[in-house]
Amino acid sequence: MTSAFDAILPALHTLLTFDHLSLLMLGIVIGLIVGILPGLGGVAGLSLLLPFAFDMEPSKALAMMIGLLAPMHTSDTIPAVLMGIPGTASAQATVMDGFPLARRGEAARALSAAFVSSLAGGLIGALVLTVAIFGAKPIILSMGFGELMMLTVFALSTVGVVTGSSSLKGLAACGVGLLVGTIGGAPATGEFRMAFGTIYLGDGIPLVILGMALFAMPEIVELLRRHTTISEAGTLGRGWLQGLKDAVEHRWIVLRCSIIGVVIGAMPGLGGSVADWIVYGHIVQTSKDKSQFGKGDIRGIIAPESANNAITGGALIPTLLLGIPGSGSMAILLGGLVLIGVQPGPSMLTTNLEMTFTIIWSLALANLIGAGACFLLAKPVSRLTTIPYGLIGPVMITIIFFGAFQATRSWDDLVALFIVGTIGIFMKRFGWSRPALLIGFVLSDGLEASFYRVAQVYGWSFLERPIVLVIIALTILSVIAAKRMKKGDASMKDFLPTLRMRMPQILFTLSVAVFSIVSLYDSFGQSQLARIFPMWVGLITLALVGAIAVFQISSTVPRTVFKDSEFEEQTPYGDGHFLMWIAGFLALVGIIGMPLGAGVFVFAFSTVKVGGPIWRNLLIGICTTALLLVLAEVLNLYYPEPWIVAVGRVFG
Amino acid sequence: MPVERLIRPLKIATLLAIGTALFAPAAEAQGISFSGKRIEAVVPFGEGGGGDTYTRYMARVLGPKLPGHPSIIIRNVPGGGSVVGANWFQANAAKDGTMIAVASTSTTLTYAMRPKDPNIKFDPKKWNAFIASPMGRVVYVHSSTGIKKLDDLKSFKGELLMGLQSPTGSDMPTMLSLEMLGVKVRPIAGTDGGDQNLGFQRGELTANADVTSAYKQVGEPLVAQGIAVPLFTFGYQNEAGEIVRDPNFPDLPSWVEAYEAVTGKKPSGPQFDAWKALFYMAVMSSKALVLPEGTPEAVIAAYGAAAQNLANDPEFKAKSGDFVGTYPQLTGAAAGESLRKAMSLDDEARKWLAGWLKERFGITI
Repeated sequence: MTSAFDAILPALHTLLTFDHLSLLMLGIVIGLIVGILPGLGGVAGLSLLLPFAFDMEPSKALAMMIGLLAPMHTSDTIPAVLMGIPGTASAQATVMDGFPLARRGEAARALSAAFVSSLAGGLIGALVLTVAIFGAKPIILSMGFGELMMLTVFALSTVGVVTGSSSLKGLAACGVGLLVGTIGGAPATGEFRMAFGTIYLGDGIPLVILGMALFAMPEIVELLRRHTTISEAGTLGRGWLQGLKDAVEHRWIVLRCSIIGVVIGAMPGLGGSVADWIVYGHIVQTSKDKSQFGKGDIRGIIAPESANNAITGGALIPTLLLGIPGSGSMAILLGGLVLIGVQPGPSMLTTNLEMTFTIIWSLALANLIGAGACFLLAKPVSRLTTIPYGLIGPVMITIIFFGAFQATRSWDDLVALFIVGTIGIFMKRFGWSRPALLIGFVLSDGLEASFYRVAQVYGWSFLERPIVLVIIALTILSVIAAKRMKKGDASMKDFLPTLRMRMPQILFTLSVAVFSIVSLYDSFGQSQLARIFPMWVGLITLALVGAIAVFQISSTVPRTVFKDSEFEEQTPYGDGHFLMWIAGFLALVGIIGMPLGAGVFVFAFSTVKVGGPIWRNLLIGICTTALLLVLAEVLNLYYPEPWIVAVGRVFG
Repeated sequence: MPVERLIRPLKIATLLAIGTALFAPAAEAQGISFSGKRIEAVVPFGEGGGGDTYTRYMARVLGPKLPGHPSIIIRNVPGGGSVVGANWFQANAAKDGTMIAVASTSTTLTYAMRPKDPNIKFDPKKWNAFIASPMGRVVYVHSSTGIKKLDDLKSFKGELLMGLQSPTGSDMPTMLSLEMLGVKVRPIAGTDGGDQNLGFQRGELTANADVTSAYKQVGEPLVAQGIAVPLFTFGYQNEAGEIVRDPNFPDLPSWVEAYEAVTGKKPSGPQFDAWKALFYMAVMSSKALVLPEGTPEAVIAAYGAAAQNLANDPEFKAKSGDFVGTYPQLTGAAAGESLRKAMSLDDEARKWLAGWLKERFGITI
């Protein structure tokens, strides 16, 4: 260990030189930006920086690359809280309570609480990494296929706390999520499931698209419908000092969730997009007063934000120690390390020890600086919530479609977001839990592959492993806790819709049933290994959906399965009206191209819905076009070829 | 004016001209220059994988060798196990040398195995490879199996557990190589590289394979700790066209030798043809950089010269091992030949492979 202490301070000393610090800052700035822009994340940011990393000294390149990864999960909170758009996949749970807080006019409070927790999470992650790098290998190696499968099952059990008022619908939504996750290549055989001969579905629906379709699009459309500002109060309310106090008050939650985040990050195969949900479930289950979760409980932000930033520290453990990346960004970081001549593996503890500490110090420093920058931003960006939504809404629409376009950079991404987003709007309207679907989706692949691995390698004997039993016990406890919570939540509205009013939700339930049937039918055409998982999930889901349909059609008493928000709140225009606007936007993109189409759409929408002055709307439109053009240049993108160019080419 | 004074500058000019012609790459003489241009390298995978890292490295070192010293940037077009990107390259690539692509094992394997798939709209046989990078592969087993050397396979009655990402993916040749030696293998499909490695370290999986560069970093330490026992390499094809021992591992038998040692026969028939095709795809043209169909000869020659120039560069030879493997790089016509061979899976061999996949995994291709 003496060698470790010999390396700690020289590494810091190297990092604190002008060259290193300025590259660290460059990384941080890019990290903050890719965190804020939905669809872009560590992978996009790192591949942007890699060409420059080549010529640098390894320690400088490391400062830059880690500088980029560290603040990303701090700044991704900004769109999650202010607009309900997760900036990266691991900010999804933050939306649950963050956005309702912004709606209440407490955006600044929510953001500052998030940034403080995020900072703490990042620093704890760096600290744990420092210690763990010397002793974590046996622990990582003790987690076998059986343990990893049970961890996935445990993660799935958190669905219990996000089912919404109807458990039946929540579980069915989770089943649908699992089924949607089976679309694409089967993990065991590579056969295509429910791809219907297309290449696009052959890879499955991209997570970024599902995340934005389920969370962002329904919220944007609802806000447009209500035609107000994001903050219902129209003002900023309690400010950032309150958020700071909240985080300090809940410091034990911060600590607990950070540690959970590090542990999940360190397990190869679980991934960051699960961690935020696991701690969200954890915090809801362990809180006495659960009534405000989902409606704007500050703990619902503090927990996922501490965890999702601690993940980076955790994920670096297997990456550096074993040379095995735990996530997409870690995979490209690993590639980057090799390119600059640093070979991850046991040498990180011996000959490359100073590099290891350069990484750790960079992580800590970048977290501090990144969170500081976000903190300064919190108040000014919160003002966005007081601007009329008719002006921000169309810009948000172009941004989420731009984010979706990053999935495979094809026209299909835009169409996929539109279709799945429409489904998301219906789910929100009829009270189907969107987080439950997302959790099912995120875990589907891992669950199927790990189930298959365990069956092949162990059979039932995996139950003889002690850690497996511990995780099973935790899972059971978590399910019981979720059930308890439901009992306290039974505030039934005395409302029984007439059959005519029930019709829209019954139709939606039936279309969910049709999806399950299609999935089942498709599974029968597969080989046995590719069939088992979708077949069983399909059968269970179909049973759940069937029960919902029966209740919805025949019930004579009020039940939690009923929900149709369009009847609860009348607005001048329905969801369909705004979906037509979005379809119009896509048509414009198809005809005159993405940058120009977006600008015209933003201008037209704000002029029609908000009115003058024209110069302001024109300015917003031009800025939107310019932003998309700049991004295309920086990220080296080709937008889908517009129709007029294609026609122009035909006629020479 | 004395004649000599007229002749002297002429002499110098001639000497200069001859010198230029001798030392400048042939391409510049033909007027090809990418000065000030941006060349795009299409990677049909997402960022961070082996094909991506390889291309990023090559783009970096190849640019300065091309006439006009252009910068080469990477365009990732992921999807469909490289089908989307390869289709995109086939349909959209500029043919003036400003667009290149990487063709790796996934691309060639997909093309060779799915000749009738309507989704495959690319034809790598028509692409112009200008550099192909061989990459060897080492197969090893866990010491808990009791296998201590290759010969122990003859008396091994158990079953080897091996992770593979997908039955038609790049791990498949490893499994097939083991099975052809008469060893029982239980495939744990849906297990990717990281899981394979960890599973092997934990002893949950008992057979694994690594490409040369990964083996030196991950596999050799396991051998040193007594956890792993190396059995054979896939081998390497020498200039005479024979499959010999991998130059990086002269102490390990090639698969062909291993086959003879374990079964007592020489490999032959359609199953050997199938194995050889897989060997070309996995080892000899593990990764290649290509120009699209229809590229002018002069441009192809310029790239060939640059690749040759790069392969001979002592600095490249010294530093490139981690990214492209420590094997002689094939350039120009040899690269094209290697890539074409990799896709020359004949019908009988394909039928045999399809039958094997059907039998072992129940899938139809």
